[in-house]
Amino acid sequence: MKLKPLSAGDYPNHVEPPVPVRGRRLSGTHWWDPDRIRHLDDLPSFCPRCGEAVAETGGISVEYWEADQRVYHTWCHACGWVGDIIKVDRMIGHESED
Amino acid sequence: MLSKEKNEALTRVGPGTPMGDLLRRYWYPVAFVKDLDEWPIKKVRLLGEDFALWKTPQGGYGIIQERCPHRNASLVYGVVEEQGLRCGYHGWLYNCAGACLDQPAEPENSVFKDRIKAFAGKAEKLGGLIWAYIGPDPPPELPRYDVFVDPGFKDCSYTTLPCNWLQIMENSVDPHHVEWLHGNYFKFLGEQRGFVAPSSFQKKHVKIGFDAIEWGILKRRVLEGNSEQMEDWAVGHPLVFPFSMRVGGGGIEQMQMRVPIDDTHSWVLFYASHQPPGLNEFPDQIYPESYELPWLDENGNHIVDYVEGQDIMVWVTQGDITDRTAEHIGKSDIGVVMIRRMFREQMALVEAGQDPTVAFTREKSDRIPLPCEKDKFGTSWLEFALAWASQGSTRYSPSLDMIKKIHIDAAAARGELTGQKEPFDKKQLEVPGQ
Repeated sequence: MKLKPLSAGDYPNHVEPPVPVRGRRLSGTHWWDPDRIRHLDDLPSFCPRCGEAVAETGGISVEYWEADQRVYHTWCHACGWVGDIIKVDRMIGHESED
Repeated sequence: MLSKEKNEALTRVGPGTPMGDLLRRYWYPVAFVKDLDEWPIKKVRLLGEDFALWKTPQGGYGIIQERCPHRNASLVYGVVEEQGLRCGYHGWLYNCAGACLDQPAEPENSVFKDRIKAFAGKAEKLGGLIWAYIGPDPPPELPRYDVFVDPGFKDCSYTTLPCNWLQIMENSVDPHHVEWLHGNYFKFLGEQRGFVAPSSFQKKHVKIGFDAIEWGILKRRVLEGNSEQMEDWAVGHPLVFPFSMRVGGGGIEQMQMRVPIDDTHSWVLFYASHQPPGLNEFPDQIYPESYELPWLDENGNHIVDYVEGQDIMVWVTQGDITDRTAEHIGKSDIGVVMIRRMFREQMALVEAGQDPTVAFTREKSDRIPLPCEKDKFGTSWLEFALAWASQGSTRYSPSLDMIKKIHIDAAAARGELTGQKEPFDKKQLEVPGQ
């Protein structure tokens, strides 16, 4: 099926910036707030190699989850170290496959 | 998940912000050549700043701050002259470097004009697009990526989206979404609405990989039933830093661009070059075909029965600047983790007064080849190309019939339709230096 081409401005989605920013950002309390708080609590403060402050010196820690672990993928701007930092809540040996 | 501060740092693109300073080191498409041939001045918003873009009588282009330094009237409503752009209000004249050449109402021997300089960027044309650079001097070379300079039939859909460019870029390093958004969800829609969704998108990802390269991040995938010897893994395709993705297959070569208009708007372009092997000549074009995409229906709902419409639904519904303090990403999102780190590393270089090192070049080149698989998802070239044309944004192209014919003629020339010719030799695809 060939659709009839329309000219700019005919579509409902046509946007000419600037337009008012839509109020999509959320406010209030949410189910994920405890995760957000834990993220800040466990955010690595210092580089494990050089000891510089990660955030204050322009580095970054991105949190992702793997199984039960919360992993902070971290880049230290001061020394260039890159690695994953994981807070250990329980020492686990071999996990059962179930 | 990110802290609020890091999310802000990665998404704010205005002047004086760390990301804004990084992004100002690159060239962006801001208009079509056709636009300025039809009317020589166009308003452009880029990285949160407004500009007047104009075509000079000599055939070049200038880009200057929109507001006249005299009393802030818009230079978009100016007059194009031999020497530059003259403000419509009181006739102050600016050249392409932003120097004020004339203030007609001031005394004849006044040197006032010598004290006035408007901010001016650089503008050049490439591939039927006009590109702008609004960063510090000296500008890098405008990268002449293969898709813009290779022979082929050029087709470019575009739209403006009310969302930050970074969440669109993160989608480019998220291979798994193809199997779900363009596979499973598309299949569900087809079952509900009575059409057949493309089966090639439904294959399960067995393995994904990412490599930092000179131009960005090379993305690889192995799909169920395929192997690492197939081009989806062996070649892959790249996110092109900081606002594009090179993709293709089946004789279609495409650059998807997400130009940061401001913090909460992106100009999205799907620039395709239809150049299937088997054809040496393509229909003449004065300009690339260009057309605006629909993505909301008359009820305000997303149009999701085509590939790019599905992507747009995701990008826009994530929010104008998606709240990364509320996300929960996993191991399958490591490409997203990687691009955030790459942006932060490059921001740090610029903060330190250095040039970025990714996709930033001061070497002149007539053509920059980018790695991009031709065999896609283990599907036949013609099948993939026709599915792309019919079930992607190309379905809205005024040249849709022409594009389908190009791919069918090419398949016939390769002997894929009649079987009378020798199978196409893929060595013809090899490009020197690639």
